[in-house]
Amino acid sequence: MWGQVQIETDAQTILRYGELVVYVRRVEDEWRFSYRYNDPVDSGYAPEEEDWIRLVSRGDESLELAPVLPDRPLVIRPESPISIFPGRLARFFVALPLWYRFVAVLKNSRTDLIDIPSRILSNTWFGDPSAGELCYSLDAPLRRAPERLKDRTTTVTCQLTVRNGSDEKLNFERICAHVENLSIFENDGYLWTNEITVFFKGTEQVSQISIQDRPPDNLPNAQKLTAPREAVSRNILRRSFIFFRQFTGI
Amino acid sequence: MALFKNVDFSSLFTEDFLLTLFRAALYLVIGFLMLRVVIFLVRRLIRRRVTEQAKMLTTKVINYTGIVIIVVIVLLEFGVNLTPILGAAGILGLAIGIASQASLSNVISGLFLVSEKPFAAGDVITVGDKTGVVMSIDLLSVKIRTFDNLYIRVPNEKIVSGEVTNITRYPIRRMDFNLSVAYKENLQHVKDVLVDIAYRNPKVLDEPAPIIMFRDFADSGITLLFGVWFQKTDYMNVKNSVTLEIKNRFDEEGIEIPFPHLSIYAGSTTAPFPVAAVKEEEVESQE
Repeated sequence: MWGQVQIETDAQTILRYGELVVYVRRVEDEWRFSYRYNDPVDSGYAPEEEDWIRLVSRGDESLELAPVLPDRPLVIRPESPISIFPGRLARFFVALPLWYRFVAVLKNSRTDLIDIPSRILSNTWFGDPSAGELCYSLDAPLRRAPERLKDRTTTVTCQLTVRNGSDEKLNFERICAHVENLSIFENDGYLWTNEITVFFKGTEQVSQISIQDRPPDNLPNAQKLTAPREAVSRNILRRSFIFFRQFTGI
Repeated sequence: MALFKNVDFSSLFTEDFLLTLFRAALYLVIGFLMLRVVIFLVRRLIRRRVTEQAKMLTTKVINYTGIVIIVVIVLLEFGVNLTPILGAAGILGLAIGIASQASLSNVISGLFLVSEKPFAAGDVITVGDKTGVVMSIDLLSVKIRTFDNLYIRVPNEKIVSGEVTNITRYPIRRMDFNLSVAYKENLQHVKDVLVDIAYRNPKVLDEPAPIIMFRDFADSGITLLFGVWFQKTDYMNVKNSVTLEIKNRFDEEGIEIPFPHLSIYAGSTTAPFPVAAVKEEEVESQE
């Protein structure tokens, strides 16, 4: 699925990825893209002239497809609140929505043309109304095993480990995942992100959120497909922690 | 004449005078160059620490102070006695101060605005009944461009003494829709439809959650408040899309939005004036 995309010359190519339908045309030195969601196969829809996104590049490139994660943090809202008792560790798996990145390739030159979300995500706010952060909202179940996740072919699996190192119960309803700091790996046909580990040390203590720069340990064949949009910085980690504490409600 | 008592007019165009003239010109050129350099350095030093307004104010203070110093040096070079000038300047200053109380009040208000920072250039504010984007905050006034492209100058004093609303101060806002539904409607169903409208609109924030509050049993129907949160840049998008969605969904769900009806009565009886459409042939047959 990933890598080179076959494009018909002088005609539009229709690509279907789950509920997303992408229309691609190459006209002289332009790449033209248009996309819709939930478009039936036999709808007969053809983009109008104003529906195309026109990107001027070169005429002799090939087109490649790469998976990327959303461009803003995701606020993951599990189906129900979760509590972790003191000293316990919980490992969760969550399916993150995928974005499709089309890249024009000519020898060693790669030009990112467009990122298209696999589905429309709703905006949400994380933190205080006067100084929070704009995120995407994701209603997604936190599963205890990756096999229990649905739509794994059109999503990226994220392994989230929460360790309660405090002497109090940790209650949380939402988690803010800074997906712009995550890489994507492929293992046996499934996509994975780096593992996120949250170490909760208590209400009054500084907790720690860390993102390992490698795939989860139990994936021996994992190959890195996409680098993170942004490198991990100490500030981002700190912000994540503050937000996490806010969301724990303690 | 006391002002120029130390000036020897007979020495005009002598070698000494030309030398003095040259030195004065040199002081002027070097003085203004140094002033430019000082302003440049100060602006560079404070560029990331203070607001644009503070930078502008600092620049102007340094500029005017520098000009005064340069002028004084040049006058001293010509041997001008400054004591009478300073005395006259004091009296003149007093006169100007009395004559321009409003302007001075605006200048001082401008200083308060710079220090308090209730808004910055680029913010959208409402002053009185005017709303627009702040273009600049100057010593005497704030310049605003309204959304219908009018240029408004608001004196600083008016802003400091009156109420100012900064619409874009915070990154997210709540948009309130005041709705009314008929008494026959199932209110729980109305509430569910509104929640669904907010949830399906990607520009409406899921959190903070939308609020729905039934307000009153009013004359025409039950009034309610529907408030949705959005990112401040999405104002127009949310306003239009949510309004359209409310109307369309209420139509689809058969939820009636009541509005006042006007009935025309004739005479003192309580029955309404009967009006019926009839065909032309029927009118002729009755005649």
